Amino acid sequence: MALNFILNGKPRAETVRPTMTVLDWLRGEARLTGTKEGCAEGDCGACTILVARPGHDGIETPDDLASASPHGSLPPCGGGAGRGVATNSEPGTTPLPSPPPQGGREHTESGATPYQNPKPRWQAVNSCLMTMGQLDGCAVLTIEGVAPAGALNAVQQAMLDADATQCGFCTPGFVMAITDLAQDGPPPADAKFDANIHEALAGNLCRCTGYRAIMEACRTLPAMPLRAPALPPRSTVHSTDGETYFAPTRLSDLLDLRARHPDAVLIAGGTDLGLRLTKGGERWPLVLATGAIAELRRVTDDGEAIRVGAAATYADALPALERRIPAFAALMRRLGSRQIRHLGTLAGNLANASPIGDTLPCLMALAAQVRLASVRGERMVAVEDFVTGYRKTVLAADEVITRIDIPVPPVEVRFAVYKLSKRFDQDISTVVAAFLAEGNRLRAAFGGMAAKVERARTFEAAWAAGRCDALSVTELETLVRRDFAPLSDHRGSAAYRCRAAAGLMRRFILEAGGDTAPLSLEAL
Amino acid sequence: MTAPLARIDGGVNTSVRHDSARGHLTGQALYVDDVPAPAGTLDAALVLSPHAHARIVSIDSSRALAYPGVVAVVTADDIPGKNDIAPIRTDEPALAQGVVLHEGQAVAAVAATSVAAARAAAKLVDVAYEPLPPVLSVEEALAREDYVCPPIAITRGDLDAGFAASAHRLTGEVSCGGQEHFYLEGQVAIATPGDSGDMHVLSSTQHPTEVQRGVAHLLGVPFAAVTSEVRRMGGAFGGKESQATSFAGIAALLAWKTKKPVKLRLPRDDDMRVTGKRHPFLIRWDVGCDPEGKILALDMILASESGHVADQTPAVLTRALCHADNCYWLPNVRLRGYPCRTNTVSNTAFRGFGGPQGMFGIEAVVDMIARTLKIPTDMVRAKNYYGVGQNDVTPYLMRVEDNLIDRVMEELDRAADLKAWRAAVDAFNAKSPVLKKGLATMPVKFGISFNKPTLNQAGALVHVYTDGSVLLSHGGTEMGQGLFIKVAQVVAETFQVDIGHVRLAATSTGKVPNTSPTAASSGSDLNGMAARDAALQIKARMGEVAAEHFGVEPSDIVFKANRVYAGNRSLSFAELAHMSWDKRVSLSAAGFYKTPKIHWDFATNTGRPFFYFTYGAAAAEVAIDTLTGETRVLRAELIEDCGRSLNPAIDLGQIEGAFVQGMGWLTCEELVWDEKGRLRTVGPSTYKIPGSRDVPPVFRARILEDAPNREDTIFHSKAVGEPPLMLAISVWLAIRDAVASLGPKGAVPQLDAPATPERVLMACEAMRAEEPGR
Repeated sequence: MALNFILNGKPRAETVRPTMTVLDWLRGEARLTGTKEGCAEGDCGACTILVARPGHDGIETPDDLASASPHGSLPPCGGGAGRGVATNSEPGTTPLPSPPPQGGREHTESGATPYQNPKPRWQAVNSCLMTMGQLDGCAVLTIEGVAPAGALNAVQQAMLDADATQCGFCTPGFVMAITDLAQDGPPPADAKFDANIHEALAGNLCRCTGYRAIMEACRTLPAMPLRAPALPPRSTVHSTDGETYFAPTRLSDLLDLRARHPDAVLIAGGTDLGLRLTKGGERWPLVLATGAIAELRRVTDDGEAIRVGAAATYADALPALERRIPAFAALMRRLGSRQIRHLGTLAGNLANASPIGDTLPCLMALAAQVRLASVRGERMVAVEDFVTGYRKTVLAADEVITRIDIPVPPVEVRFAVYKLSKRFDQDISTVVAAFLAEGNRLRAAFGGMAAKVERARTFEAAWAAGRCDALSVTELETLVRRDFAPLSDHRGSAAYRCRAAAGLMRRFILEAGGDTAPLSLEAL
Repeated sequence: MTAPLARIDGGVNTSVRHDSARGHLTGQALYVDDVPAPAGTLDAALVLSPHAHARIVSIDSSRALAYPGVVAVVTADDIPGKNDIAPIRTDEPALAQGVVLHEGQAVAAVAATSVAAARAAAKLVDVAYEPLPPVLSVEEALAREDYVCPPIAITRGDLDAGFAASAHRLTGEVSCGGQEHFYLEGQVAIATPGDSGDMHVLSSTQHPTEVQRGVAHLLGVPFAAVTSEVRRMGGAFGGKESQATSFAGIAALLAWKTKKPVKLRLPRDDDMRVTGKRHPFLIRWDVGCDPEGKILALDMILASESGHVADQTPAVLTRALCHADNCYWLPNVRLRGYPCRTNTVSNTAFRGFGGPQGMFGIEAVVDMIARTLKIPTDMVRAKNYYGVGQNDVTPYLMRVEDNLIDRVMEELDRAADLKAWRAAVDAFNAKSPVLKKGLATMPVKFGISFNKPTLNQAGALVHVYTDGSVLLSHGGTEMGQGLFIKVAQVVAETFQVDIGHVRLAATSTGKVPNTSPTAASSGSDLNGMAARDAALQIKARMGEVAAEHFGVEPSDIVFKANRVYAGNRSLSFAELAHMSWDKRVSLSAAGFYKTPKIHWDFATNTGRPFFYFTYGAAAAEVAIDTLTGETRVLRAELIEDCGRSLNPAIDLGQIEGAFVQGMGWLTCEELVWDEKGRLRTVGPSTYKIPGSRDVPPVFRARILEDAPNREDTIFHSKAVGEPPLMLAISVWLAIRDAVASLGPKGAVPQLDAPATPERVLMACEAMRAEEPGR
């Protein structure tokens, strides 16, 4: 069965292995070699492309288009196929399912605020980590499609004018990432002016220029709204070359499939699992994708908690977190890169149960709950109990995560998150600490300090006893060592981890005490 | 003479855009992996050693050969010629022969009909090893006196007398880490067999001639049977100088074996595990100085972690020793370099080529003197700078004739107001107990020319066609540094035609033979001169044709702005080209250049290895978090001497890029090997090069104005590729300064590089412990 997508304005129906990476397909099959492979692990950005994905960042699902939504008839980017492609289902492809019970537009329970970017946006993603199966029903822009042949778009022109290329290998990726940024218009000329640009570029490495010229190009960007094309229909199952890829649109279907195929690879964003394809050379005969299920993409805020569906990406969750739990949002902006956050999900981070998964200490400190579902029913588990060991969870073979509920701390509660890494952006943490203090009650969770994310119980007790203010870093380290015996690895020695964890405790104590001198480099 | 004042478009000293900028931006610029491969091209993958040191007991390829799509598996035993790709010495195999000497060493290679099949089958080559004990640290190799080549020493003066006259004598030790090149385009080559045993290799290499020789050695064919070609690289930084040869060689070996074109493109992890990096150095010193900090005696050892074979180590170590003086006159000095052998990747060329490590060492010495004597570093430096007309001879006995040290430091002060800057940093520190700032400057003097005189030669081939268009080939390679556009500017200027008329051909050993690597910052110096020579030959012939046509003397002919003048009569350049052809005058010439004045005595390590020096200065401000060791560079001001810059925009890019790369080397870029000698930092997920946010928010690079090279270089420009990298040592010194602010005056921070958060935090703790009352 063919995968349907729009490539640089032209509809494509391709019969390819669904777990082939988009990068391999672009370079190998489509012979579009402007998109480069620099690392095949989502860290260098040379493979950056733009996608318009139904249900993310204001992009309508085909179901919405069918029901004539306000911006349902956007012409394609760069000319080419019109909206007719939305119904241009080829013989042999799975027909467009009838509108799901809730309709395409994401409704929410009454009283809850839906978070959706009202403006449709293209999203920069790493094509090295994205599988062809995930492309079904999407539109794609590569470097070959951002401007008519022989011409430059505004981003390319700005980079040309700034002498922002040297070897040029990273350049197409930068053009794509900056084109993503330019959709929102020039960054606001405020104190965070450059910070916004850095955040947009965090997923792109350049080894030649020293970035100054690239930054200069970004500072002079005109607003460059892109228009997303109407999207083709997507199918719920693809089977090619011994690989079957299920992309059900209903949760009940997913649960049925999970019950029948406990060995299938369950994929949300695939930003971590994708490494098993690119680096491990794995083949997956059976894949279950969560991304097409509208109710799993939902992010809501009912005042009490932010409820993040299992298929909602980090980017989908950010606006709600930004408004209600800004410290968590700030951490999330350092998690991976925009490219990663456009694909990766909170649920995936949780399911991987990495000892350093950046979000876990936050979720644990905030006492978040995970909702699990199977054909047998549903249950709620505290994040703290969900992870049982190094990359181990309580998830049963027939179960999937459906939602993560993150309680919003009341305003009088102090919540802080600190991340230590060798590089500020796009780096896996050496230590992450999250603190939630309500009076003398403290929940402190640390990542990078044990085989799984753990609470710092001794420190919490000392806080409850009101003994913390006077403690020196050395004394705090004694408390750390009572709860943790971290490993030494390439990110840091055990000694450093303990000392730095104590340093983070001290920072939290000083901040809570209203210390006026700057306490973090970001404040400078 | 009535030649108009009009200027050509894109002559020298103008900021012409990189010739491939549009291609880069549109994705149309082709790199090796983008070039459409001939039909039937096979893909290859390497089998890498999991052991740092082991005897190969047996290699069984049967399972790999049975894998669908696999066409061939080769090991060292399949090599028809000599299994040796050593750039300087001998016996450096492309595929391990009998023994593996580092984790990640290539043991075998597989060719298959797809990349996936080749990589999958590579895992099925069964190699039995008998592990042997590895040597994994420079200290251990130093203790065992196990070296990849003989140690090197440079001595001058009377050390004993120097120490005897010294008021202070200080000893210390510091080390700096290696550095992965992290060129964005990994190693890649396509080998295509021709008829009569010829082999064509398209390789991402800085040194096509070495690829040619390496392939010829492996296949046992004459050099003339191999053509090596490269249009552009996606970055190199020294990592494709000698390192590219083995991959081109293995692709050629597989192509020879299968009689099909073979492409070998390394995945990033393999690339990082197989290829050499910047040499880590351990540096120890014993220094004597007077009460003002003037150095009277310096005894220093520089031990490089060289890896398992010599590769470029002898040259890297020599350059390190030749830069351990930096800008300072050392009257009595002994510099000893130890090329330590370890069971790790063979460390190699990397931008600066030992120079950064040598300067890192002497700057640690100067910092120690200044802090111990409680004298500002810049005052100590000023006591030690090379003089003009006196105290101007380097330890290797070259006279410093073009001293611009005072000038660049003055320009830096003018641009940055160091006194006010220092006051602001101190004021911040006085009221900030947790975050601390540091400020430091860094002068740089860097020698230009390959240390080995032989390499300082270049060739070029210029054709003028009858429509007036010019095709330029030279021995240099384009890796993003803008060499091609600079040499094109030279040719455009020489012919007086717009740059748009000059086309750039891929570098090929078939066009320009016996080339030197594009390295040592020498690309435009050497190839620019060779191209100019070729253009001048053709221009002279065309001038004679024009003279005859106008009935004047050749000396009356003037080429100017796309035309050729005799008084107020003129022809277009294209008309004259056509006329020359018509008159049966050759419009093609091979140009050649060899650098004058240089010589080097390998026995005594003395001579004039460098045609000239470049100078630069930097100041950097950092902030550190003394609770966590996190660091930010807040501001950097740079001045770099480019002579009369051929292309200020390109040079500025080199300065900025080199500085940030140097910053990475000294801060976030950390290579970690485990106790078994396995590299744990493979890929950008674990090895962190600077990102855009790491660049100082205030980052100003300037080119020193009105400073033409006093030597007769190409249009009196200076080389720029490497020198600014060393300006980044200011960042490391500034971090030390911030750490020092925690302790009593006179205490010296102990901070190795890279200054990771961990090292910075531990240095902070140690410095706090020096504070009395604790």
